[in-house]
Amino acid sequence: MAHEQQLITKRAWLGPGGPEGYLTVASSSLLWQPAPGSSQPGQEVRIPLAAITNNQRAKDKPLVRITVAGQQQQQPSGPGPSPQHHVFQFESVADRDAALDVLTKVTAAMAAAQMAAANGALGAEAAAAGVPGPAGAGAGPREGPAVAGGFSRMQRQQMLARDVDLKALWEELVGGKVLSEADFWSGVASRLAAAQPAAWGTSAAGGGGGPGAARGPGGPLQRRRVGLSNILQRVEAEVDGRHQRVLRVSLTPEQVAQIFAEQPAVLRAYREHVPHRMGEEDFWRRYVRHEMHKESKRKARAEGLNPSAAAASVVDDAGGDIFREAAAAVAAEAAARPGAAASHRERVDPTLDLAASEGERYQGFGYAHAATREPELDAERLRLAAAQQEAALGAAMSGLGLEDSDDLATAINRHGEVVLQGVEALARVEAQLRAGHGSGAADQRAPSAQGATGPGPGSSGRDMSASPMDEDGRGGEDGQQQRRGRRRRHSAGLADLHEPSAPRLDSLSIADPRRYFERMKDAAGGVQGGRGDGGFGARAGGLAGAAAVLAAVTPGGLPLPPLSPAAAEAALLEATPLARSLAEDEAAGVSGLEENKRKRHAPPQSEGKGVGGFVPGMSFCCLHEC
Amino acid sequence: MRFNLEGLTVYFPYEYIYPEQYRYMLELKRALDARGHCLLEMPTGTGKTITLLSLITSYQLAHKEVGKLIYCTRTVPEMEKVLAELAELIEYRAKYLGRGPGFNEILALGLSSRKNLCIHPRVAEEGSRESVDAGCRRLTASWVRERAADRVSRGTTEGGGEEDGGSESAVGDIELCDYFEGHERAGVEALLPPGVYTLSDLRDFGRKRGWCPYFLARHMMAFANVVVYNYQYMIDPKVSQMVSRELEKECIVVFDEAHNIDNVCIEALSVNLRKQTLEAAGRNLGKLSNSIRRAREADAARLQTEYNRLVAGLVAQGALRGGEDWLANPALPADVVQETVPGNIRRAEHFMGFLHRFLAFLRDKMASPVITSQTPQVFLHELQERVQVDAKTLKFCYDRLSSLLKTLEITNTDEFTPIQLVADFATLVGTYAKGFAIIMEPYDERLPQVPDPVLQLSCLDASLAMKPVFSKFQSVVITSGTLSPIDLYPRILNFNPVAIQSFQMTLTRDCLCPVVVTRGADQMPMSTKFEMRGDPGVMRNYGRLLVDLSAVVPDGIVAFFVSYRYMDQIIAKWHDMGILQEIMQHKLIFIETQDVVETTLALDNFRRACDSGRGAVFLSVARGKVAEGIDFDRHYGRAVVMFGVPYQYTLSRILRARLEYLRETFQIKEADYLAFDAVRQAAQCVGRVIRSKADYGMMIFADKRYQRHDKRDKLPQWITRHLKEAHMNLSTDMMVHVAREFLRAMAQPYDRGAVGKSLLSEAALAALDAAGGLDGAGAAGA
Repeated sequence: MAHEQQLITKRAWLGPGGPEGYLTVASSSLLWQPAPGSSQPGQEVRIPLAAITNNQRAKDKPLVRITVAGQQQQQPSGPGPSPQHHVFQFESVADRDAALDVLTKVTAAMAAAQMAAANGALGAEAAAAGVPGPAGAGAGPREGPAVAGGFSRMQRQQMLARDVDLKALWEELVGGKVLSEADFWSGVASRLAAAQPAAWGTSAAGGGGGPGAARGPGGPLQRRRVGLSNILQRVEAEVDGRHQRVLRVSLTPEQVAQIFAEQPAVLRAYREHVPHRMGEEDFWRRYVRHEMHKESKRKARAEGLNPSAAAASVVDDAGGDIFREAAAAVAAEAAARPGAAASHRERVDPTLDLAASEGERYQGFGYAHAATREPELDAERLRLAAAQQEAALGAAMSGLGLEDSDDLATAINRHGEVVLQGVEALARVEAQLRAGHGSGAADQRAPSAQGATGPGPGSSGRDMSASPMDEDGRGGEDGQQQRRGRRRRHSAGLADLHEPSAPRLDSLSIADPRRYFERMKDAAGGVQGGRGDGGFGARAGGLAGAAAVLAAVTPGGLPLPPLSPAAAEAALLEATPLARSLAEDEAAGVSGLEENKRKRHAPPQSEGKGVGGFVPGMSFCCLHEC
Repeated sequence: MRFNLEGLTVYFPYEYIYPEQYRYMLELKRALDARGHCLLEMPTGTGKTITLLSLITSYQLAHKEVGKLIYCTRTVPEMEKVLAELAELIEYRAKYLGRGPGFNEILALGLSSRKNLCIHPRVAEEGSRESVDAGCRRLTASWVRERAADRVSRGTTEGGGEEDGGSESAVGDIELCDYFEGHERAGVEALLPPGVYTLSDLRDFGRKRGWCPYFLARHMMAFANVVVYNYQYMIDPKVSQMVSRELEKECIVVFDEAHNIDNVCIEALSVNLRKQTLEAAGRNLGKLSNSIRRAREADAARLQTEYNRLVAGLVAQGALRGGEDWLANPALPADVVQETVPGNIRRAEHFMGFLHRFLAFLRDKMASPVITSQTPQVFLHELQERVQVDAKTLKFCYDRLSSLLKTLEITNTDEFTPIQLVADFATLVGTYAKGFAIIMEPYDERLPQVPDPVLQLSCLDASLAMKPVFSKFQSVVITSGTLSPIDLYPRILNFNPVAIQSFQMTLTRDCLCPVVVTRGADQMPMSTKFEMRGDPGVMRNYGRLLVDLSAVVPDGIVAFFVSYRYMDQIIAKWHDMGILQEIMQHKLIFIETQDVVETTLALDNFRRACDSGRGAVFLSVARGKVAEGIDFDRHYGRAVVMFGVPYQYTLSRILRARLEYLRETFQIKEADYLAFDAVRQAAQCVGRVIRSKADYGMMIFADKRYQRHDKRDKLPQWITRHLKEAHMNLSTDMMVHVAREFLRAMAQPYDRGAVGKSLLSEAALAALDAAGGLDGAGAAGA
């Protein structure tokens, strides 16, 4: 190993108070050499990187403990195959971290290279044989039991092949020997079970075979939703500024679909006019122009231009009448739809239903021009205001009254709604377009279906409730159940007044719990597993994890009165073997520690009596669903 | 938990209780024991509602002599929340009290208008409250049902010719409401089993049994232990006389979120007449005259009977059929005259003439192009001079008109709303000489370009409407998160509470982070002061603030603007500047609009966006509907921004009249009142994000004026206590830094070391009780 590349060298002592020397991280091994002329001469230590199974950093102290698998270390003192530890002390925590970061990177790279080689072998073998063989070359799910977590070996392989993230996790946890194969898969299974009632929004329409097909093993994991961008689309158009002519419009099919989904009126106009009355291109030119017109009008209003200036600045909108007609038709259909009010009432979360409050107001009583309220713009006065504006802006723009003053707000709200529905909304539009073009004459019926998704009352009604992901209780038929659920959803919300629910612990055998916490730190919460309470597992590693466990202890439930925080912290430090080794030197007979030692032997899973304490090395763990 | 509070066993559905909740209960219990009214302020986010419910239901359980709990809320969403919390409480109580009949039984229901309760497929679809009411009446009025019964018994198919062009006769058959009939058929058997019923529960139940939920709820009010309804059902004499007349004196009446109660009171006694109203009232008169003529020809006896009845006196009027469900007299019950109707309007024709004259006078007044403001005396004098209508007769207008409408068997009452409004106006003007003003505004001064003449009868004295409530019920509880200055309320509502208390919040961690942002990152001051709000620089800075915030704050953000108009303007501007697009890089945007249905939908989508982790910004208006009743708790609101100081529109004539009245009667300075009102509103808005102590949120006051003492002092204490000196004059970038730090600290797991300090356990309470009560419970206020 003489030719190996030295990556980083730091001054370090072998063990606290041990001989002085230098620690070098090289490309394939970790090397500690005693400093020449040191008062305490020590032996050179060389640890092959491949043999390192773990490293632990002490909190706030420049210490690290390297765990070495007990086979091929060169330390002659190593008796047999039991794991060996080396403790190094650095000059500072920063030094220690710098060295270890390099070390971690190198080991990770090595592991990845190994894995790739193993996978390559596996892939080649699978391709050749077509059948999973027994005990293949590298690490693979085939090694595990025939059934783990309710998944057959075949299913497991499929799931790993489909889901890159899951695979990475598997490699880390099972490959890294943190979890057993069975534990890992039962964790996945419980996570799937928890994810079954889809937790949010919308699902990808793409997915091919639809949600039914995705139910298979690994399916729900696959159902990661493809979302839409938050950004409000603006059509790119090249415009001749002088003559206000739209020269060129560029639109992607996605943009078109999104425009249709967000503006049912445009869809309607499109279906009515394209291609019988005008070409696609002409249509979109008109659309862009219409949008420009609206924009300029808005600007004129916002800037409070005087009528003549406003009239001059507003873009002429000769071709926009098709959109206005369609908008009027869509609005009329929405208004005329029977059952709209009732369906609205039943669908909306009652704690958000502002319309219900409106239903308690009498007209004509109270204040008309109340200073505490906004000037009310009822339909009639809106029309009046619009008529005035129209008069001011000149006769060129007829039919302005159809657009109300909030149109930008409405468009933005509508955009948000479509984005939340995700690609489903676009797929629906496309389906409608196809249907519309296919049947041609059936134009009249189809738009009304589209109208149902308009921003009117009860929108996102039928067709949304038919979609599988509509978990929100807006669904139609078994509405009663869902409404009940919705009502339950509201509560005083004083969660902190409840007794914290006892952490639900799943038993899990981990070879080395410290390793688990270490991994947690590295993977930053990437661990999946058994269903844990919203507790400590994933949030913190090592000491912090232990702190969380202690935080969950009910002081009243302890056999002894609560300790002072200082004593508790001391106990906590002591709970990690590394710190213990330090602490044993210093504090021999502190009574608080004595008590804690006793406490540590209380059974950790006796939930009825409260969790007694944190026991290092015990075979329990609480995993958090991330 | 179950604990003993000075001898009262209280059931509280949690394992712990905040000390201030305990104190609140103590204060409330003492007030109930003393059978008096009380005024309690407790910060938002400390669980007022559940505390109230828990104590009062426990009190009811221990003291059988206490009547119902009448819980008044401002909005329907709040009503739903109260009922949901009550349902939890009752469910929890079963643990101690057992289940089954006779143990833990309670009947609680929400009551709302027909518009919200009707399940008739066609009527429920009507647009406004009035039209649903009328649609219902058309199917359920006593004469309609009598006629139907008559026809059934006679087996004839002859249509009723005398009704005034109603659609039923055209159909040739009389339509009735199945649900109403089902309810009537069941008679006294139509009972709700014990339980907690929200509006949708009532509808479900009604549908299942085939009973009308509205009438069922009205009927069940007599048996209920808890009734939750809107303020107006208690305060507004028109409605309360119809709904709440039967309630017994021993009831405990609670007004929650009552910081605006004075405004509700004055609006309850105010009437406005628009130009369209007067025109429509004129048409109504024509129609009524026709009906009278036809009635005279077809059935003169009926009009004669009415005349005789009027001669005999109004006392008999209550017995008039068809009167079950009309809006009652707009005047307060104590002021309703119990005399016979004056001779000059007893005959229907004479009454029509009288109304014609009055209407002509009103039209004339409305034609005035300038703003005028008159006292009732001046108005009446002028009326007498010009059209010889005297005040005494005016008083009877309401009664005379409703008698006439009933005599003519008119069911489409919504069509006749305008003339009813005129009659109400007349009755109020005739009844009250003090505390009112008659104001004529040719247009809303905020929109001078839109002509909208309004003749406003404006009540100025909030105590008028509250007086019957205070005198009728033995315990009235007025409570809110922001009742400061608390001593103002007894004065403007004119009552003597046995307890006035303002409670503080005990916090173990600073889960509120109020900051005042006065400048943008470019150090330009920010304000919505009139001369600054249009400045593009200010608008841009406000926009940048929101962009920066949306990059830092997880999940939901709420922003409140001072008015719709300003919001519209600024959104258009932000759209131009590309600020909206920038915000959308981080979060979706939803906006409150004037259309309530759309706003509801936007709120729903906002929540979905927060739930899904996408995060969203909700743009709303400080005095709008969202600010009034929607919570943005937990991840729905991690930051709230108040853009500007939400002053009322100070140039409004109506407000001026009110301010003058306040100054003359209570020596309250105008500027003080306005500032209080604005800051109270702002506090209310930012308080929307905190719903419990485990919750947390940034509260950003973005206006340089909040830095000033006179504004800051008026913020409630629970905000000022957390407002650090260093956070009173921040620029946007400094604020973002503060937000980042705050949110990182707060996102840590909630430390439960608070037990004993900000949380009391059952054992602690027992110890407390044994030791003789909470030390310094009295000193807790102040």
